[in-house]
Amino acid sequence: MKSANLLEVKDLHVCVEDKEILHGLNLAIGYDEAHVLMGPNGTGKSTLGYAITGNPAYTVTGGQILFEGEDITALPVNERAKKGIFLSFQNPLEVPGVTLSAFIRSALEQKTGSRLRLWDFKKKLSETMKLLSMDESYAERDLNVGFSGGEKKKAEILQMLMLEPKLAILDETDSGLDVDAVRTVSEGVRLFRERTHGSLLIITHATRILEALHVDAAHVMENGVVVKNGGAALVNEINENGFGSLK
Amino acid sequence: MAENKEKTYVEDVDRSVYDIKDVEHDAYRMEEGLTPAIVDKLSKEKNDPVWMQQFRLQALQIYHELPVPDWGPSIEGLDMEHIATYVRPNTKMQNNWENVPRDIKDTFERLGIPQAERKSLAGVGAQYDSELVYHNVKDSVAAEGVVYTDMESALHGEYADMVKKYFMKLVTPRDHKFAALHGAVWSGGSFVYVPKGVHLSIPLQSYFRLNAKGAGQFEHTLIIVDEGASLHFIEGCSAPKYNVANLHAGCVELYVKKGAKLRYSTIENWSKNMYNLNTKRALVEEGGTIEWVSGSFGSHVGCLYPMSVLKGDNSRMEFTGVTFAGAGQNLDTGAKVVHIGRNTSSYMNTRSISKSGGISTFRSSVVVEKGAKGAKSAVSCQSLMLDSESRSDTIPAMDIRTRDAAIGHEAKIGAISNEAVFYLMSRGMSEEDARALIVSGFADNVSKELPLEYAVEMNNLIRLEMKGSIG
Amino acid sequence: MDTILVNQLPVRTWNRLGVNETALPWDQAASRELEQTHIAAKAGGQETVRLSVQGEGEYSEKSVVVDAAEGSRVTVYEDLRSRQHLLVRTQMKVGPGAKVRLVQLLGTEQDTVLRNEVSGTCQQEGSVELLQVLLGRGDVYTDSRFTLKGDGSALTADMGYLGQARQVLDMNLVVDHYGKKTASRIDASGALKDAAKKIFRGTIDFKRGSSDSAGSEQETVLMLGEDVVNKTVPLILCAEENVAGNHGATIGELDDDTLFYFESRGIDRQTAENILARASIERLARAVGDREIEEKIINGLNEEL
Repeated sequence: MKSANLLEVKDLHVCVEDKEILHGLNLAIGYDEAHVLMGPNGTGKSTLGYAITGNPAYTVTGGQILFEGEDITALPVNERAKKGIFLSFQNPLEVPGVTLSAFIRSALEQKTGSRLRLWDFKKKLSETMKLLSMDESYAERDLNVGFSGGEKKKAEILQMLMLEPKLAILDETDSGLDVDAVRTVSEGVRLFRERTHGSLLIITHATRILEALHVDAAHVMENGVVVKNGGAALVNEINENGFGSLK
Repeated sequence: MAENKEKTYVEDVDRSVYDIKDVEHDAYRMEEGLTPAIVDKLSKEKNDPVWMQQFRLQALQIYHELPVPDWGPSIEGLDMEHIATYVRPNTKMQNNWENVPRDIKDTFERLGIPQAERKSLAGVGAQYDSELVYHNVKDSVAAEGVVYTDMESALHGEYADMVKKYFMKLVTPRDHKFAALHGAVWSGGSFVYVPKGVHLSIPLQSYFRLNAKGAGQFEHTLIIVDEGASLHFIEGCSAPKYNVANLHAGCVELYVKKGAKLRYSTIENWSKNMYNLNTKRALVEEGGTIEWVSGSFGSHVGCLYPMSVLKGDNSRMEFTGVTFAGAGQNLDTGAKVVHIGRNTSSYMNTRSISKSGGISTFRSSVVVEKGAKGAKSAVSCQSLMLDSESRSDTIPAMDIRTRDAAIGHEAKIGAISNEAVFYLMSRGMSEEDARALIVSGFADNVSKELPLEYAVEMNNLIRLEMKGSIG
Repeated sequence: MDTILVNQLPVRTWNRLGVNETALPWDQAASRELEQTHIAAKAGGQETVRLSVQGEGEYSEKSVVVDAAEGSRVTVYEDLRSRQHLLVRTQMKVGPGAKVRLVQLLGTEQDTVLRNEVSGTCQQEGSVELLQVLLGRGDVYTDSRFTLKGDGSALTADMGYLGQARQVLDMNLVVDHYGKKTASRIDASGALKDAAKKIFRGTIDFKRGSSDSAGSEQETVLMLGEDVVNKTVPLILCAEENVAGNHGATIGELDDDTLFYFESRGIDRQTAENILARASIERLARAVGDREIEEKIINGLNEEL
């Protein structure tokens, strides 16, 4: 039976190098919903993203993560990805020797479990890159090597659009981008919602990326827990009055 | 203190403080040359136990068998047959500074040892021409059970068995020709034992000095830091300048037991006719740490590669070094490490400077054995060339035999940045001062790890070396 | 049967490390000399030559001479995948402003040895681009020496390899900077599986007078086998103040961050390792810019794995 929620985080405690960052965090994201996660720097927003994705450097010391009703707390990273969890990294890694195209193709093959027809793949990749105003030459370039900040983020969004996850976590995707890049990334995110109806968890402390998006829910984090939940209005409230206004 | 005249052309370091040649009073001298008869005589003079007597003779044998290494700087200028290996001044070992003979005391006075003593360093062993002249272990250190004595006494006293167990087991006479030489004619040096759990908060230090014409120095340092204990040992040395080649073939063996920590700091400041062929090695047990801090400034030819054997799981090595090779110097320095246990780590951070025709070579070896899973190693060496008469060579080597290791290495070589000089000058500094400041800053990886008086001495050395660097 | 010393390091170090040179059994007397190939491009001209050398008889040797006159452009594709013991010597004379591109596919059958020797001297503004791909199952010994004699001359060298089984890959590369404003860039990347043994010696030598020159060397080794042995010896020798030299080496297995990135896209460790094992060679294959060679390399790679 399908659970009511796509993602449920229950009383989650997470440690990094013996220091507890998340102190019993609770969060629920439904199907086909766009959620925003806000909070001051250092409060653990990225940590939550890594914990949901399953980064082994982040140890879960208590609580649960349920995805489509299944407890994935102990599941390895690649298994979670195949189930449909995607993380767009804040600082995407450079991987010399592996082209952007080969990387995405390999990920797709892992997901479907079968080899892709090269022609179909290249066609879809090319179309998606056009939608993101990404020059075609990037496909054969080594993954993120020598890419500008904006291009790296676009490459992440490209991967998201090609992999069609059920839940996409965007970690500070709009930080460090110029106006045009933000617009392109926003467009990509909007397309994702429209085509795939996947859910979003947008981690941000600026909110430019939200301007073109319909937000279903917003959460504010402080000191490793969620302190306030609300609708789209909460985002505006924070923008106008800052985090202090919550007290 | 002699006045430092401003120099406007390239010149040697102002070493007048260090070049005091005391008139040799009737010090006993061995005939020059290396025969079994000489070694026998030496052994009897020192009242060696039988095992040591035999050890020396075996080492001499090995010395004659082993060839001179076919790599590294040339040591052609060294004539072994004519170097007296043993000189003993006519004074017995002293416990109290007041009782040390005047002229010997003067030498050390000028080199600043009593001041250091007054600054409540734990104890000072000062070597004068192959014998420990002055030896003083502070009450508080002795009360904590820390043994700090000269090697000769250690051979006979209550630690005789411990010494026999460890002596030249880490650096064996078979290792290389000069280790064999050392094994045959070693004399003087320190023995330190830090018992379990004892943390000495003050550094122990010792000085070396060569005085007699053509004398060689072969002191042996053996330090054992027992489980959970910690020690900082400082070795700083100097020698006067002679026309005849001088040799320093000492040996340092460091045993760091489980969970123990040892920091071994050295400023090598030998005069520019010395051949410094020192061998230093540390064996680190589970959870132990060895930290080497090394500043090499002197000698005509130097070969120094402190080696660490990371035997125990989770053992660590850190090596921070700076080498400054000026006119007429060929300094071949670096470090070696062998990873044997699991989850071991090694870090090397070295800087080298070459000036006025000096040759500086960084030479390293990182070996990770098959069973050394989880090994991490990072080596970073930077070289600064101050002109085009000098040389700077970087010769690192890595031998990795397990996949479960993360090894990184980086090296850079270049000249002083003109932008940096311009920036400093635009703030009112002369070009000469700007360059001296930049070079001092370049060497700060070491100076910031040293106790203040050593850091000051090091920076003074650099400033003197840099004077006259323009034109 | 003689024993010859190959791949000598310009400056010796501790003998115990076994990196100063390699002793190799080689029957010089029995070696058959194959016909020499002479490639010449006239001033301002262009030449593209494809060579395939397999060796004849148990031991053979071949010499290739490339003469690139002023301002010429020469590309030589050498397929040196042999079945027998083979020595190939390629010498390049690069005239002022000339560009020579040498692409080499090096490989041999199990239990045979391929010896590859490359040398090049560049005049003013002359440059060499070297691409070497090491495949096959047998042992490969490659020694490349370049002299950047003229001012403004340059060398780029890209090497990619995949060591398997009990293969020995023994590499030596020396660049002597003599002229002013000379530049070198060396990149050696590869993966080692099973019990492969690899040694890479790279030397950048700034001679006195080579002011305003720059040299950089980068090595990346992906360790994938339980019994692999990797030796890395990156030398920088310098007798000139106004130069910039650097080298870097990274050795180890798939690092945590890269593994996490792959896994976060659903790609497991084994698959990621396979992708990366091929990566250096695939990258070079693309860089060649020649369909035929690219296919040869990819096919060769597919055969291996």
